[in-house]
Amino acid sequence: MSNVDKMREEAKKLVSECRFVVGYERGTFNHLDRALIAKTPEDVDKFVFGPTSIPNLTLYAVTDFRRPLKRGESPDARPIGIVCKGCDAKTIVELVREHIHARDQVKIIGMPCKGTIDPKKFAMLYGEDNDVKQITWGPDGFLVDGQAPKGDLLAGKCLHCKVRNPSVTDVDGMEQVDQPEAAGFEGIESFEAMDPEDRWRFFEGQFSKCIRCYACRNACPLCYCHQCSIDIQKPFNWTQKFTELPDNTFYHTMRALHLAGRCVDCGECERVCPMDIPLRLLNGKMAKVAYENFNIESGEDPDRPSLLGGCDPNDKECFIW
Amino acid sequence: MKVMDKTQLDKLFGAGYEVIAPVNTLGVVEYIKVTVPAQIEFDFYNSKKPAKSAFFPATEKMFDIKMQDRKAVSMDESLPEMKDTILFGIRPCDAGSLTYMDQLFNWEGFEDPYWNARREAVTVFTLGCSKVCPNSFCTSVGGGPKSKTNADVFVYEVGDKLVFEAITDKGSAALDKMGLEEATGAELEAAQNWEPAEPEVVDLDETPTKLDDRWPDEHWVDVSLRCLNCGICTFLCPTCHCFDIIDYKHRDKCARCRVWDTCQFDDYTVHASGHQPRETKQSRVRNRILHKFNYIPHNFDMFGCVGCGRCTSLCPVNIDLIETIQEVEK
Repeated sequence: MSNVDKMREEAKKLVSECRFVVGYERGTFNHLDRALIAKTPEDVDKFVFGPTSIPNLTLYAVTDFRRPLKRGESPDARPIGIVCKGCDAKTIVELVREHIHARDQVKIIGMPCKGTIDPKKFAMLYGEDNDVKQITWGPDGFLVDGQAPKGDLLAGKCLHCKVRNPSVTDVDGMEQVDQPEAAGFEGIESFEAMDPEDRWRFFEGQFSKCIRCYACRNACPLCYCHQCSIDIQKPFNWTQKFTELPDNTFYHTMRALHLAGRCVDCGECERVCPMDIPLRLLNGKMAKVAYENFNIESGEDPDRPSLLGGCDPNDKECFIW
Repeated sequence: MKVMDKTQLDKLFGAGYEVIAPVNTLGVVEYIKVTVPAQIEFDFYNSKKPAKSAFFPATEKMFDIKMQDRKAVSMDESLPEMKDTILFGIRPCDAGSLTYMDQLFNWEGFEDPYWNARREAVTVFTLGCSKVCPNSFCTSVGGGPKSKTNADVFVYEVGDKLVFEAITDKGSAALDKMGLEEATGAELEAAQNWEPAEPEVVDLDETPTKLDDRWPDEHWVDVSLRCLNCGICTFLCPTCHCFDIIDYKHRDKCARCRVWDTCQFDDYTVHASGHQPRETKQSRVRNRILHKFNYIPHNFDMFGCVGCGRCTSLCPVNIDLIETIQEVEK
């Protein structure tokens, strides 16, 4: 039985005991898969999985949590099922570690993954209105309609991936895939080597493009605050709604700081950005700082408190004690 | 009809006009003021930021407020100081959206001075579409790749040449000042017989009436489950026009500004009391779609959508506008 059949079978079992099961279905545009919130076994039949299953569906574990309840309505206590790639499963670990979800409230269908495509690279190579029918995994790399691709399609986040086979899952018996050596922080290091002034100019250019649609924040499963400090305008505001450089810079810097040591590098913020701002650079740098100074990696160990959510008496910055 | 080479774009600047044109800024095509012809981008389906930003910028100062010795307050209205401007290379769909925006900003006796000041100063050069944009359906809502609605000048791209057809007096005055050659022979023929590819037609004629009784939540829950409630579809829509008014304060000075706002955000409808009448995703998605395909058709007798397809193409969770409408109509 292939992994996809196994996924559908397990999702059908879960759909009766869960509030819903989130999986991937074929989208309408550019062959990218989109979220399907399945409530019946018929919905589950539409589930697919492949290199175009890019979105991080654990977002819907948090979105549902944010839904306002009607008067007298009590929250639905049934768990939810989520189809997760390795990177997405790390998000669940992080959510459990931050006490947003109890581990038994989320049923993970962990899918081994050989890396997803980067939709922006794909559109650049094949054009925005291409007639490609299907993108699949071949023995070495992707197959576009059964052919070798025209160029590199692998998403940036997948170069650093250490969890092609999800580290946590509630489903056994998936066929495992090979785990090549991960690249570490290579992309970040070349960026750090830049002259600070050039780096600042680079980000000035990028942040000036921002239209403050907040897609990066809303797509981030770890940006789960009931009310974001950016949205608070009264009685006092941290920043204005202007799409000017200072306000945009404040917003992006604040978001990167709030995700320091928490970001699991699922790449959603960068993927959803309509203005192509390379947000993974910011979050990657914060991850590197957290790793080098505190030896903490997000989504690894659910028993250890998160970097911003706990305190350690052996912290080398001893002034707090 | 007039003709010029793409290498002669400096003639645009020679006529004493300021030029706003499509520019590729770090991967984002948008309409901004250009000073050098080399900045102008031709290789794009449609700009990411719609051309509405040339008339309705994302942030616009309305007036300054100054405190004088803590006794009196003075206010200085700041209308945009516009020189004669050519808005070059906007797509027919974006030009089509001006029909609705002009009416909206001059609705029921109120005239918006900021919109009108820019609109009067600008001569619109519409650039015909030689490629069909993904997800577009402009021909189904009254537009099309060679629609001349609201164009002062229509520009045909013929190989390396540009052929200009004056539509209005304002347009022909601009062309006269540019001092172009008369189009003849092959270029003229190519422009006159130009038949661009058109997107597939979607039947939307009955949609405004069909949506009349589609208010209840049950029609909207399933189509909006995926929605992130980000502002992409509305900020990048050529007919979305909502704005918020905020004060930018610094010491004893203050500037009152208007900034783009979107019905997809939580704070858009929240009342002073704290009550939130539109607290769920489905009610916000419903507002966006009913506004364009039901309220505007009833109030203005036209679609509130020009079919550019940006909202579908740029939606991070693939909420397809046409698919959603068809699902709700069922």
